[in-house]
Amino acid sequence: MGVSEADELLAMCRALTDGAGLAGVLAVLRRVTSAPAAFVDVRGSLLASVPSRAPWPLQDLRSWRPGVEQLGTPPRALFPVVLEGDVVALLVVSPEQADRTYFRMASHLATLELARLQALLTGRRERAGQILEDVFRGRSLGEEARERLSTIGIEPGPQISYSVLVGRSTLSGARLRSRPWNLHSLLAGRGDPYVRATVDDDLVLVVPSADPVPTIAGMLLEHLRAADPDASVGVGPMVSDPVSLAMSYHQAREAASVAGLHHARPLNLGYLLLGSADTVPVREFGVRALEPLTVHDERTGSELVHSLVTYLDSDCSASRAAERLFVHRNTLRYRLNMIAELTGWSPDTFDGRMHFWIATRYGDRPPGASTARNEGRIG
Amino acid sequence: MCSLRLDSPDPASADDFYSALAGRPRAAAFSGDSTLPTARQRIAHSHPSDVSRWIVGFAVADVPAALERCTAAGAVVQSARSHDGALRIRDPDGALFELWSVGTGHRDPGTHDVVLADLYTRQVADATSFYSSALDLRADVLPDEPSDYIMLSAAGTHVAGILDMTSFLEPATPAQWLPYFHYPTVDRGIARATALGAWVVVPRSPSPTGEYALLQDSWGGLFGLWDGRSLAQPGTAGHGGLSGMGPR
Repeated sequence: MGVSEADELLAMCRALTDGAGLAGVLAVLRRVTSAPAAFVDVRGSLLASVPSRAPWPLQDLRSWRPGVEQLGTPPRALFPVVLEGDVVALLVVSPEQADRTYFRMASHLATLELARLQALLTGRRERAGQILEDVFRGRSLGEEARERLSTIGIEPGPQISYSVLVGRSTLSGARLRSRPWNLHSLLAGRGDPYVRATVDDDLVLVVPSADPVPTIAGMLLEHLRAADPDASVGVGPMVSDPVSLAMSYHQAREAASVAGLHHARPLNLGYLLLGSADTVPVREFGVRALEPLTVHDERTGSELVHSLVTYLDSDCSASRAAERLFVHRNTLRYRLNMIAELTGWSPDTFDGRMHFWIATRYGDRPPGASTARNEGRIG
Repeated sequence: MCSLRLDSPDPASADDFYSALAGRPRAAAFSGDSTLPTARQRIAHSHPSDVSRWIVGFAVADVPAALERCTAAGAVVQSARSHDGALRIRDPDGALFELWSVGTGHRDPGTHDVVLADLYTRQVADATSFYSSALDLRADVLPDEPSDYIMLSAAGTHVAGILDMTSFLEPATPAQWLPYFHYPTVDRGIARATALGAWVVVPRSPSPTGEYALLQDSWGGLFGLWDGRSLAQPGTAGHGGLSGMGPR
């Protein structure tokens, strides 16, 4: 790096430390390169532009995908702003003006600025996560729950209700906590637009009733899909008290068990207990409970587990299950008797059904759940 | 202006979006303060449309006389609504607006006040001549970059404006009137609007009458945010959108 480049880098740094933000960095860049320049978030929304009124290929930028380094007519060069491995914004410039050193410096400085602001936000998200987790788990109830929720801006009551959105992806809780959600809000020093936290590696948003929840749920899914195409979002019902807020969370959590965007079904206490059973290794017990059947299936090529799941999914109607399995009803009856013989629990008794329901349904993406859950699919 | 209508391909969702943007009461925001625009807009939806499209309404003392001036200058009447008497007019450059009789707009349940609207056009001189004549408004040139701002006022009150969009909007963008939602801090308005799904097209920028930004909704419609700075400056031509527009 030459002396003049170092001077300009310092000028860009000073723009940030003086509070001029990304527009300040762009102003230095324009002075040096004479090129119009802009920072755009990955949705294609303009964060800063010098000059402020300039033509940018915003429609094209909305469909930008990683690896694309140039787009638009006339062509614009793109320099990614990367935060913890994720491209969160783009520096857009005219390629013919390219002394790329300055553009790279500017995009790195933008990364530093966003990382600084994001670090401030991460602590706030951790605090919100702690409070929400205590309310959702029932560790904080009644007036205490109200008071704690109010400290993070959630004040359910007759005048205002909330919906809990649960987003699930392969990203870890730590990654979710440190990932920016709305750069406009971040750069304006306003943190997250909605209370946002990470609970059990799920991303949780609490959205007030005045706002268009389906739109925000769609944006959350888009945000998560950028990292995981199979991401999911569950939308809990609108509620107006802390206990119901916890129920909205658990319903949304259950709805988020299938990829895509889903509204929650009415609360099912069975699923709720399964999802909350963290004192007993239910998943492992379920595997063991089904082991005689899986061993038999592997050894003989029978379909006892599949038959069992189909039978339970058919509300224990043997004729409907047989039809779905493309077997004779007597064949299914034979298999059910075999299951009782191998496990000691008959699928024809209530206790047996409950036992097998838990064994087959435990987990985030239970087998055979798609039929029932698709009823709540909204997108 | 005295009314604001929105043609939208999805009126219900658009209503949710603009109601939230215009500030239904909500609890204190997470960051510890709240953001409520001072103007509580209610927006009427008129016709379904492929993209969002605003139609602003101006109240004039003598509708027939104003209409005569409009048509003489090349405007075309699009429709006349029998139930409220508003005339929908397409100006010579293609931008839609409505004419109301003074007073009727405010009483009509389907009409709603707005803070301010600007005409975005590429024919600034022609548009200035047309609107100052047709609506009997005073036009003042306020120097700005990259092009001057034409302030239209009535009785010393800033009611609308005209600006050249050539340098920053796509060539296919038609001439149109765009409303501004009043957010005392434009950045907060941007944060709010983008959280609701909007995109920023022009970031917060200075102008002769205060800071503003231009955004786009999910259905392709453009709208503005404006800090209303000149509202709070005694001795200057204040923005009079909330009180409507009368003859000069």
